[in-house]
Amino acid sequence: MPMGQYSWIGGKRMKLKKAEAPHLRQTERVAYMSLDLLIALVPLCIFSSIYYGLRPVLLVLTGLVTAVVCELLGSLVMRRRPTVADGNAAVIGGLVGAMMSPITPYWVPAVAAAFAILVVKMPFGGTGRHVFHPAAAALALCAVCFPTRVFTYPDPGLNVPIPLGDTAGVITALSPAEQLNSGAQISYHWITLLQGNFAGPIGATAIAVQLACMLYLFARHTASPLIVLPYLLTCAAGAALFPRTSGGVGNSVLMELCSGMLLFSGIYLLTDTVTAPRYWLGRVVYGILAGVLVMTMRHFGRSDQFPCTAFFAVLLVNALAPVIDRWCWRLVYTLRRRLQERMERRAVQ
Amino acid sequence: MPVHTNRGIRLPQNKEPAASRDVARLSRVERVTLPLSYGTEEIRPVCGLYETVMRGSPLTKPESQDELPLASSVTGVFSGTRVISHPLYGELDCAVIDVLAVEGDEEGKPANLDKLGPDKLLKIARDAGIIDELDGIPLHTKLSQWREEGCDFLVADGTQPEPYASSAWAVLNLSAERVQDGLKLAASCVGASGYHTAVFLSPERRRPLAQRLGEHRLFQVPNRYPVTQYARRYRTPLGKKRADALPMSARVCRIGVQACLALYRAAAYGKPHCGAVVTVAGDAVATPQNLYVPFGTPVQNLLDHCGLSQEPAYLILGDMMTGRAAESAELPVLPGMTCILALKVRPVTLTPTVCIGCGRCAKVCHAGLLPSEIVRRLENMHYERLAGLHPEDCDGCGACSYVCPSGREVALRVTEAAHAHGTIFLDWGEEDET
Repeated sequence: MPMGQYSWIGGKRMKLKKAEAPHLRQTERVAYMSLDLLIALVPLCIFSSIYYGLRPVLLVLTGLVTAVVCELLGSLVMRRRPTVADGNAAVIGGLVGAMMSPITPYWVPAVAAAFAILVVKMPFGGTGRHVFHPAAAALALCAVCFPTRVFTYPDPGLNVPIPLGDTAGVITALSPAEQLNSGAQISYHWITLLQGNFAGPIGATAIAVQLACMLYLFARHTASPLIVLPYLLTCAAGAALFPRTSGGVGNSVLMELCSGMLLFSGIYLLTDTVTAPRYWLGRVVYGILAGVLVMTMRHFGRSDQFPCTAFFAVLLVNALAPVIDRWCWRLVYTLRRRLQERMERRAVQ
Repeated sequence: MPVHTNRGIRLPQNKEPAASRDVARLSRVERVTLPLSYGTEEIRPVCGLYETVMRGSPLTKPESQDELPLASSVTGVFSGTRVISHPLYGELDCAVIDVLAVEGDEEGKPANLDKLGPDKLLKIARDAGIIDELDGIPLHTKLSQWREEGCDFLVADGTQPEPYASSAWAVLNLSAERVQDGLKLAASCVGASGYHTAVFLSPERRRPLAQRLGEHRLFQVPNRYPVTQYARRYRTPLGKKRADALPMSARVCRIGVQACLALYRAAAYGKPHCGAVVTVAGDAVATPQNLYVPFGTPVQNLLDHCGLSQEPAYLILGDMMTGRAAESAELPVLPGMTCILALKVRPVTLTPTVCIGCGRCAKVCHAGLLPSEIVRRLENMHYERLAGLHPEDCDGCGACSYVCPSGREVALRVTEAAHAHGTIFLDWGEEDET
C-alpha cells in the first residue's frame, strides 16, 4: 500500500483534509452578541412608547436603518465584504436612536448614525477595529452641533401620544439631570424612577427595565459586570461624597444614578467589547475611571450646555482602554510570577 | 448557554458508547512500523534484514544512558527501514516488521516488589522502554528529574477531560489495582509523600472505583477543561484548612495511568511496554471502542477493526481539542496516542472574522495570558513586542480557540508567537507551486 496522501476504505481511496486543533468550537458567534444587545433595546423602546406613542420606536428604527444602509454603502465604497450580518452597525444605529429625545426630528438620528458609521467606524477599519464607540461619538456630535434638539425632553406626565410629524406644540419638561445641574433641590419617588415616568431620552429613563436588560446581558456574557459594577459603584460613591442636592446621601445617590444617561452609558456604551479592555483588572480600572470622569464632569463641566456628559466620559476612557489593559495585565502577571517563585523557594527549603 | 468559566471551559462529553464497551484486541495486524529513535540523530538497527525479532527484544542499541532502547512490540521479521512524517513526532526513522505473532499476556508469578530501590526502578522503567502517554516523554527521564528536583505528591492522571477519549477509564476499569501498584512504585522512586489517581467520571463509575482503590486514593477533578487541579489544596488565608489537602507550595507531578500499569508489569513480570489502549471514535466510526494495540500498528488497521460507517473527511490523532489532523491512515500508533477520531464533519465551523475584543480568550486562559493581544501583535508584525506578553507560557490547550465567537485560530497563532522568540519569520506557503 503506498504511503502518502491517500488511505483506503473498502478498497477505495479516501481523501483526508488538513485541519488545525481544536476541532471543536462553541456555537456562540459575534452576530449573537449583537442580537443580544438589540434584544436588550426592545423593552426600552416598548416602555418609551407607552409614554410617548410610536414616535420613539420610529426614531430608533431611523437610526438603525440609516446605520445599516451606511455600513453597506461604506463597504461598497471601500470595496470590502459587507459586514452588516455581524449586526454591529444595527446595534450602533439602535443605540444612537435610543439616546435621542422623543421629540427629536427624524433627521437627527439619521445624521448621527451616518456620522457614527461613516466617520467613526468605517475609516478605522470597520467592526472590531474602531477606537472610539461610534454611538458615543455620534451623541457627542449632536450635543455639540444641535444641543436643543437632543436635550429637550417632553413631559411624560401628560401622557398624550406625541404626534408623529410636527412636535412644535408638545409640552416639554426639565429632566432630572438639568434640574440637578441648575442646583434645584429635587426628589423623585423611587417608584417613579423605576417606572421611568420622568423627562429624559428614549432609552435612558425606565430604570427598572434598564436594570433587567443589564441582568440579561450579564447572563448572556455579552456585557461584563466587571465594567458596569465598578462604574456604578464609583458613581454612587461620588454622589454620596459630594452631593449636589439635599435630602441626604440616599437621595443624592438615587438622583445621580438615575438621571441623564449615566446608567444607559454604563450598560450599553462602556461594555462595548471592541473599545473596552479585555483583561479582568483592566475592565475594573476602566469602569472606575469612567465613573470618576462622569462625576467630575457633572461637578465641574459646562453643565448649563451639556446636561448629559456620560458619553464624553465614554469617549475619553475609550482612548485609554488599550493602555489600561496592557498595564493591568502586566501588573497581575508580574505579581503572580513573584508569588510562584516564592512558593517554589519555600518548597525547595 | 455560554460554557466558559474563569480559567477554563466546560466541554460536551461524547465518551459513550466506547467507554461502556470492553477493551478489544486487534484481530489482525500484518505489519508494524516502529521508530528507531525519537530524536534527530541517526541510529542503525541492531538486527539484520529478514532476521526474526522477538517481542520485547531491542531494535537499537543507544549510546548514552539517557536514551531509551526501543524494543519490538511484536514477534516478526525485520524487513527494512523507512522514513515517515508523523504529525506528533515529525520525521522519524522507522523499522518495518512483518508480524508473525502478537503474543497474549501469559503472566507467571509476580516478583517481589518490596525490595526495589529507586535506582533499580529507574533501570526497570528504562529497560522496559516505558513512554508516558501524557506527553510522550520516557518515564525514566521524568522520574529521575523529579527525584533530583523534588516531588511532594504523585498523581496517576486518568482524567482525559476531552470529549471522546476513554482509554484511561478502560485501563482503570480493567486493572485499577495494578495501576495503583505501579503508581506506588513510582512514588517510592521519586520520594513523594503521597499519591492518588485523578479521574473525571460520573458518580456511578467513580463509586466502584473508589471502593477498589480506597476513597482517599481517588480524586475527582473539577468539571473544567483544561484540568489544572490534580490534588486538593487548601487556600490560605481565606480557605478552610483540610486534613487531606496539600499546601499551595507542594509540588504535584503526574504520570499517565497506562505508564503506571506498564511500570508495574515491567517490575512484577519483566514485561516490556509494547502497546497501548487507544479509543477509536468519531461520527464516521461504526463501532466506537477501546482497542489494545501493539505500538507501530497502522491507524488503518484500527479503523478496519471498528468499521467505518461513512467516509471520514478528517482523521485526528488525539482528541478534539488538541489532536493533530493526519493526512494518511498509514501512520503508526505510537506512545503518546490514546485516542483516534475519524470525523465526517468537524462539529462547528465558523468563518473567521475580525476580533471584536470580547475578552473570552483572556478569561478562559489558564496560563493567565492575553491571547487576543498576542494575536494582534503577531498580525501587525510587532514581533519584537511579543516577548513581553510571554506566549511561551501557552501549553496549546485550545480553550481560547474554542470560545472565540469570531471563529479565529487563536491557539494556533499563540503557538506560532511562542516559537517566534522575537525574530521575524515569513511564511512562504506550504509547498512549491511549480
